[in-house]
Amino acid sequence: MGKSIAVENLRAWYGDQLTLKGIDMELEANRATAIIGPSGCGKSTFIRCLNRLHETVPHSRVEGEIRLGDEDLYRMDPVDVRRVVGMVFQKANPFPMMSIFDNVALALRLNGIRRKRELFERVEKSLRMAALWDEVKDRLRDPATALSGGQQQRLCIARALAMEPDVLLMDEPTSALDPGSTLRVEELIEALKSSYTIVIVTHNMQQAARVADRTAFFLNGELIEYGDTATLFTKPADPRTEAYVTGRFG
Amino acid sequence: MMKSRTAGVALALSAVIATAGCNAAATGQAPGGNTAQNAAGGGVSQATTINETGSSLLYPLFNGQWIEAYRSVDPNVQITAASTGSGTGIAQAIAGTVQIGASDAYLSDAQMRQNPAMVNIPLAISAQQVMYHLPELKPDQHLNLSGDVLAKIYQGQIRSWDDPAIASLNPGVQLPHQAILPVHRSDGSGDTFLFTQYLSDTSADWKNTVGYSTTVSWPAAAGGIGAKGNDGVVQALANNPYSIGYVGISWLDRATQQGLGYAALKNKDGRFVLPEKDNILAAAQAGAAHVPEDERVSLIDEPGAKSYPIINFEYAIVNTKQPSDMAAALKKFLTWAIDPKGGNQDQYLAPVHFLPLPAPIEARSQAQINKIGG
Amino acid sequence: MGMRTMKRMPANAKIANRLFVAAAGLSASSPILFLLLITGIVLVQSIPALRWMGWHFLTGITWNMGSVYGAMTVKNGVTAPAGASYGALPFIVGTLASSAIALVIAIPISLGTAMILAYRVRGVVKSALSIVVELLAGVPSVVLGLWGVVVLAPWVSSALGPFLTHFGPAIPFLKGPVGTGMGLLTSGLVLALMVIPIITATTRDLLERVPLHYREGGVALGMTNWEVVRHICLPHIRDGMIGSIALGWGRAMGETMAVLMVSGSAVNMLPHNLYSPISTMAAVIADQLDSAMTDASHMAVHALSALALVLLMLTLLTNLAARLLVNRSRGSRRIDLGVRV
Repeated sequence: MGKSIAVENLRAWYGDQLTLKGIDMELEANRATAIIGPSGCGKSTFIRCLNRLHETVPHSRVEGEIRLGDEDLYRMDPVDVRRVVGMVFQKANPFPMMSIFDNVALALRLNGIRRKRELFERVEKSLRMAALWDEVKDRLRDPATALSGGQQQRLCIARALAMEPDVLLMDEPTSALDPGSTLRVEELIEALKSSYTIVIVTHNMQQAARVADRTAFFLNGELIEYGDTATLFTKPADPRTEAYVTGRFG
Repeated sequence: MMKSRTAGVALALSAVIATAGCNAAATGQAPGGNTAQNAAGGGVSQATTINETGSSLLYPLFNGQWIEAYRSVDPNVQITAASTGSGTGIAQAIAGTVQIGASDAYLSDAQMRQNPAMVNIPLAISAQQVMYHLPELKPDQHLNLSGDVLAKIYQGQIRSWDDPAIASLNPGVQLPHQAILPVHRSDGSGDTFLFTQYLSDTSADWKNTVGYSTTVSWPAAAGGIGAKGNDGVVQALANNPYSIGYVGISWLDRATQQGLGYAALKNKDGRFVLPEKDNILAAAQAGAAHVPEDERVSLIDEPGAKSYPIINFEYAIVNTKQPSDMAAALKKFLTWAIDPKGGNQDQYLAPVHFLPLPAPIEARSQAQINKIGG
Repeated sequence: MGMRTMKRMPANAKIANRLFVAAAGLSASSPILFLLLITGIVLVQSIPALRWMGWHFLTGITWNMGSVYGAMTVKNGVTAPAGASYGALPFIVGTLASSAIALVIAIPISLGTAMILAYRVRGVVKSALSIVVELLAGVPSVVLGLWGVVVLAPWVSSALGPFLTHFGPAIPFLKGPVGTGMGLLTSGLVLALMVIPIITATTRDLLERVPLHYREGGVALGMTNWEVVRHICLPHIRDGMIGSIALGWGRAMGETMAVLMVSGSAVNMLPHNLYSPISTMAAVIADQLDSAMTDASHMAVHALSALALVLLMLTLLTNLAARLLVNRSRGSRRIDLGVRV
């Protein structure tokens, strides 16, 4: 089951550049929250703070507080954080030297699941949840790179789900996909959000409108507006939000 | 034909080492570095260059003393010297790439038969001491050792310092109950030649099983180690208490500074003598009596109460067939080199601990020098 | 007619082009010509020694140039000094064992250093550490050998060796006596120092070229740094690493001077434990060539040539095997992968 995330005065730097200027935000459990905003607004940095990936970048820095449920994320071991906060990237990144099966099974093995039967069940379950099982069940030993782009992205989702995380972060997961594949991923998000807290960064406002329960608008490292998706798109409170969602800039 | 092939092999072997390891390890074996430019030298210039290569013991005498001194004797002659090892010196003198091959050992009968034009000219007298690392001994205390005992040590038959065979040679000396570590030269060396000659002359068993040469097949039973060069042997001895080894006389001071002792060796008369100047000269005088015309002779274990048993000639290996101007330059230089008022003066020899040739030997050497070019 | 001649390429341009093609062809083929030439000379020079010894050249343990100053004997149609026997097994074993020890030590250290250089340090620390690694590659082998004799061998003899003998009951090859420190272990350590920069530099470059999004994929799954390197980066760079290890191995087998100084130059014996004196093929060639040239029958030189031939073949085989391994792993990836539990 998903957990809620509470962000308090989150500030992040790349070198000297302040890219997040104090974000306060509550992300509800078992909901899909979309982060929208123009390029460079800090939305990617924001979700990379949520699994502590931002700090792995050279010369980066983070301040503020993030609580996952009742735990302080930045007091946990970052490796443990990433086991409960999964992530899917803009560019599908299945491990190219491994088979489809191993891509999903690797993290499970590293978490001590050694019994073949349990491993197989977990891999199948994850692939089913990622709506990929029927397409790959006969060729689990094929290299992951033999899959199409959309399939690869769903494999990455399956890989993240195999860890049974509380939160699933998605950084523009469909921006490199064709419309058909995009649709399948969106259906998947729809299906998953009842059991995971999903945070999805997207450039595509229609996508946000389709999949997200709540939407946040970021601009220049600040959270401008945050609310129900329908409200934000139809009756934005802030003129800058209105300008962005009506396509006047961005 | 055979000779140039040998030189080619040396080059090829060096190349293999280099290519195999992607690494140009400087083995210093590649010939051709000092190819003679003057073999067909003619009337263009009077200047002549004599090239020397070979023995690392003779190198400091040539490079540090003689080359400089000879410049004032004959300014028209230039001498170059290189330290490449006696075997290389012999091979290159035979091949004709150098005029003087410096060697601690003379040519074998088989080599002389193949190359009858070569002569072995003694230039000076050298010696060798047997050294050990025994912390219990006082600095001025010298162990008595014999060739037979040394042979048994290097064959692994005597394994401990307090073995009765050693103890009986050294009455009153407290010998430690410690295993002996025999150290030998791993590279081909005149020192190995002398040491194994001494063992062969004094131990029939050694003569029959190992024999003598610049490299021998060391018995593995002794459990010793090999070290490269005199410096390597001194270092190995210094590093390892209760070790024993043989070291060229020019290294004596440096080795004793490292805390190594050296032995009084048993000579033919049954006396134990130290490698001191008088004892070396006494041996050289005794040896002079039986030096043959071609001077290819071992000076090991000469008779006489004072004679130190491990001494040798340092040779210039020269091809007598030379163009006339080169022959003249060579003759003049070599004559000067063996002259007690020339190159054989103490001021040149003392820095490398060599001793001058006794008068009868000088005469023999002169006779051989006179064969050059004619 | 006039027009046709005008359109033709000028004669000197044609000649220049032919010269260029010929020169380029010659340059391009010179490495292989050089290799063939060396192999040819070494092979031809080896034949008499191989005839003298037969297969015992590879299996014999007695290496004796015979009585160079004594009589000659004839066997199998070739002449050699009496008592000559060229059994190269101790040197072959010494070469393989010392280079294997070097690799066992060098691979994990190189990998760790490369990992740190590629992923863990930045800026001044990174360039400083890189420079240190490159400097290590530039240390002349004779200097490493000297350090091996003066510092490393006494330390192996007094500290490392006695410590390792504690594992003797489990691994018999680690049993004492430790000896002088001049031997197999010290040779392996010195060789490791020479091989580490080679493997480190290549591995660092390879690791840096692993695309970031693959590594982030692993990190985001909750893998530790080591797990990311182990499961994502290493499979990615495997081919290149095999190549660099082969390169390092070749270097270790062919290294001459440093090994010669610390190996203890054993003859006529096989190593009986990790501390035994050994000798390698390259060291023996360098050590004994000078004496070999005083052998009037030239058999000693032929024997050293045969050693060189074996060394050359081993080095070529190493490189060839590495290449085959790389190609095979490329060709059969589909079979290799799959369920491994």
